[in-house]
Amino acid sequence: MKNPFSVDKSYKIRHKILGVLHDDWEIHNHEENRIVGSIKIANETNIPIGDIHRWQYLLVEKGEIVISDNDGQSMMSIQQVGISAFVDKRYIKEGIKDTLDGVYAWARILIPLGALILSVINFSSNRNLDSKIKGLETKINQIKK
Amino acid sequence: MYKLAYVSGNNMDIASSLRHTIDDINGSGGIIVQIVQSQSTSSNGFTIVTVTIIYTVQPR
Repeated sequence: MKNPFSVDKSYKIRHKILGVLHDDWEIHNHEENRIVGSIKIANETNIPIGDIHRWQYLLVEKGEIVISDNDGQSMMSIQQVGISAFVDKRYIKEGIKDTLDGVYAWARILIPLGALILSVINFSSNRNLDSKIKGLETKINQIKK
Repeated sequence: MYKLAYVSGNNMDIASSLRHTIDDINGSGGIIVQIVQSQSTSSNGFTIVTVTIIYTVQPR
């Protein structure tokens, strides 16, 4: 089960992939359509190559990268949208927002549940107190007589 | 023996990667047999094109 209090790794992976591609683009004087191999990305980020291949399609869908594969040699090329996404830390922000939404969703369940449990405890302790007070009243009345 | 290459991305951006892939195939003595293109529209309105190239490499 996903931990609602931690940022999902897919956001971190996407940010790191864009980071390597962005740095390569910057090192090579902002040359457009630079191609970087998936193995280089895996080596620089310590992300398993399988995870890179799994999440790269989300970046393709957003128009942030172009991927190519030639006989198993996988490569990526960052696009202007991807550069903006990295510079803007879009996936870090989205990951934090997603985490906060998860916390909020849990809080919406846990807070009313906690309040209900507290009121049940209060109710039962009040009942005990009532019976004690009644007992004391009876004793006082008996003493008065 | 058939080999496969593909390029996938926003339709406005794939030209350079496609060119690079075709150059690679030609450079390795490959002969392109067939090119297949498919496309879809992503949730944010991009047209995502995938160009698949089937090619053979002659034994040297």
